[in-house]
Amino acid sequence: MKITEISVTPVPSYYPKELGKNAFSDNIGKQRLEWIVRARTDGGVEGVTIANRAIRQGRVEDLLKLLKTSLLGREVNSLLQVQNGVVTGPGADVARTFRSTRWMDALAFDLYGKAHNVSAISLLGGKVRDAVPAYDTTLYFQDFLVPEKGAKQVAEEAAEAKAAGYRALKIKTGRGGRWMMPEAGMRRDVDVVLGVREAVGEDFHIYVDANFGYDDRLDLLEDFIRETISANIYWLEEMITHDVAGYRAMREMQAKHGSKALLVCGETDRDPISETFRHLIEDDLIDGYQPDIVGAGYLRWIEIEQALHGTEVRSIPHNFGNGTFGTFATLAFGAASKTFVSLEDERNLPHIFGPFPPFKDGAYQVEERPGLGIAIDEDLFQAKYALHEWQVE
Amino acid sequence: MLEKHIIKDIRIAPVETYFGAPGAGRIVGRNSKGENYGHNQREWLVQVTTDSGLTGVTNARPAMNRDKLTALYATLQLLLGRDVFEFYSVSGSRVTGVNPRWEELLRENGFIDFVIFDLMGRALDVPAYRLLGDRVRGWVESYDSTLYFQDMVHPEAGASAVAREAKDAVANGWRAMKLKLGRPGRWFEPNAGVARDIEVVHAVREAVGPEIRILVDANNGYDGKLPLLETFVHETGPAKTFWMEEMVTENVADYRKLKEWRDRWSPETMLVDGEGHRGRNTIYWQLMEEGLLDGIQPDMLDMGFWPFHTLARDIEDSGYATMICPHNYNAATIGLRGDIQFGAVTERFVIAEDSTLHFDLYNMQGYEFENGCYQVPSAPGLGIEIDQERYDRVYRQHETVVG
Repeated sequence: MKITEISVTPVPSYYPKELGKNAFSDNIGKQRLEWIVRARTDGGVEGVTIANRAIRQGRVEDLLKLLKTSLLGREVNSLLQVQNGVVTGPGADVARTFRSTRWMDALAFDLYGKAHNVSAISLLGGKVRDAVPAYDTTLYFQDFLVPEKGAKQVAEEAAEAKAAGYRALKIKTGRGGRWMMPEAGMRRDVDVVLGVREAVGEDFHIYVDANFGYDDRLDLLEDFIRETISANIYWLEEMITHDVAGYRAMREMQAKHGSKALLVCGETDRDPISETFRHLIEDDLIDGYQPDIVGAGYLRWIEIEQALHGTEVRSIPHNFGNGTFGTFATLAFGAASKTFVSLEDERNLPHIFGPFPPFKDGAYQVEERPGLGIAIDEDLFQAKYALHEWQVE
Repeated sequence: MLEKHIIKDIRIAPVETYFGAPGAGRIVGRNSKGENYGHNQREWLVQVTTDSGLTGVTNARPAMNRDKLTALYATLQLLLGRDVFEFYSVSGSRVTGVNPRWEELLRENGFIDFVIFDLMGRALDVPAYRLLGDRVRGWVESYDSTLYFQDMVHPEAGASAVAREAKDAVANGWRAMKLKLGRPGRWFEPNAGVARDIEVVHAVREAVGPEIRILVDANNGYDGKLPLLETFVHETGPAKTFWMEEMVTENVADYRKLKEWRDRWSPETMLVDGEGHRGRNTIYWQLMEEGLLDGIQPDMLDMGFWPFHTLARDIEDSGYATMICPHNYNAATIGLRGDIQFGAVTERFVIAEDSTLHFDLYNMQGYEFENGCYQVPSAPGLGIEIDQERYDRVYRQHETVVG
């Protein structure tokens, strides 16, 4: 079965609300594009992935050329090495391509799975849980967007997340990194965390992500950790840039003030597991590792989990920016990963991909369907998006 | 001897607004190189108060676009304790030169120039423009600058998504608008991109009629694609665009070709460029020398009044025919008011870039908007007042006091 048609289509993906700043960049906004790659075979099977990362660094015309040289005409069975129903690596002919464009391998899992009527979960090693916990990751600096409410705005949105069924959420912090003065930013961060805890109650996980907003201000980071102890933060993410000395200092702060939060990072590791992160893992300075699910790709995540085996470090793939596709991609991974913690959920409104699996008690139910389990609403695609579908010629 | 007005208090606050209503307004899409412009927008309002009770304003967004609040704080600290008249030489209510002590700071932070002019104008009880010269026009035309790649925000509508919003702009009073083009550059397959650019221009012309000025801006989206650019210029000739902006990155060879096509198919269209580098890079002067640049566009807020005034003067002195068309998009409301003040006194000024944003916080009664033009106000300084009740209620909790 050969790949005979490939197309690229930008599809707008909406958040249910405007998303504000994080510690270093301006507003995320309400809408982003998912650059959907559809690959069809002469056997009538279709697979999908997103090329957001390729477009972030390049142009549509380059992407079309890349897809042509990489995938057009390839045998589906040549994309992956599979032993006993489990993927062990890339196919020999595409190994180099998948190493440099790792977002492509999700397409291989989808196509191969559909061609053989097996799920990506199965190809990743098989289901280890019936439901994949997810967290609401949309709590940015919403206090800037609704300035009259300030920190209360974040708490209100947290309460809405709980009402929508989530049992975990992530709060962006690090306001003193760029947009506020350092002390005032730390104080607002504390107010936000305490306000959110009050809004969601005790039986709820709160994750905190500073996007390195406490770099060079370990004194303020210690204040933050101390003053938010009562909020029982579940994980502290990227409070500072990955660095052995800095993370050791954070461990000491945690011991001093009684913080049990996991320390997690790794989203910015573009070639995981790179040197600094290896040191952080070896020295037991992090508890969770977060290369992006699409950016690193399944094949690299298989290698990562092999490398993490025997450590206490858990798999927490970053997923922000991957849209609806990312929900499906992370869901398949989370269903098969023994040390997976929680799916980063952007809460994108549905478009052509569906149906989302049932969401109950803060978790997506695992439903094994061929490939990634994504069905495309072709009528909707033709009506709304086909005008911008560009074929690989 | 001018009476002293010593700066004693400086406050910074991010103030927010939306394209349309919060949660329900427009999303302004992408241009040829960047992601969506968005829905929520902001200015970094700086209020500077003197010991004599004068308060001037500016928008520090250029500084916040490039750096942290701590850096802006450190820069503004330098102003505390200074007399508002020590930055410039002033004679007979006219600025005649910049104090070398402050020249570098003002050059690097044009937005500070705004608040200094605002305060000097208030101290002398004259509008900011009077510090530069006599008024040459009482109304300044503006263009709606928010027509980005709306077809990618509303893909099902294609080019008509842009035409629909162009029609709205006319209904809201604008008589000129700028369309973002350059789809071949990044987001479209190149041939599809030029076809859409052409389709958008014609759809908008049809929607708004022959009297409305249509400006186009490709943000250099035709770089390396000159045959497509030639097609674009040829095909859109009948739409009679008012100007073509940044169709390619400025270089003499490409601009010679562009001018040749423009002269052949669209002879009334201006070629404009020069958003960066404060108009001082040699390439702009080479283009002017060869008659390849009809309008130059440094950013109003990034540049400041005095550097822009001297640029206009230098162009005048050079004998080149290049006009002045300040970039202003990021600067929103305060930048536009600066643009209007500058346009009031600058012969070569063409038209003001208007992001169309409205902030409830500002009272700007003198800037009446009629028939696509803003009236030049007679109020002292920039003529912008702050609604203090709203400020106290909404923004006080977010302000940083520079001390």
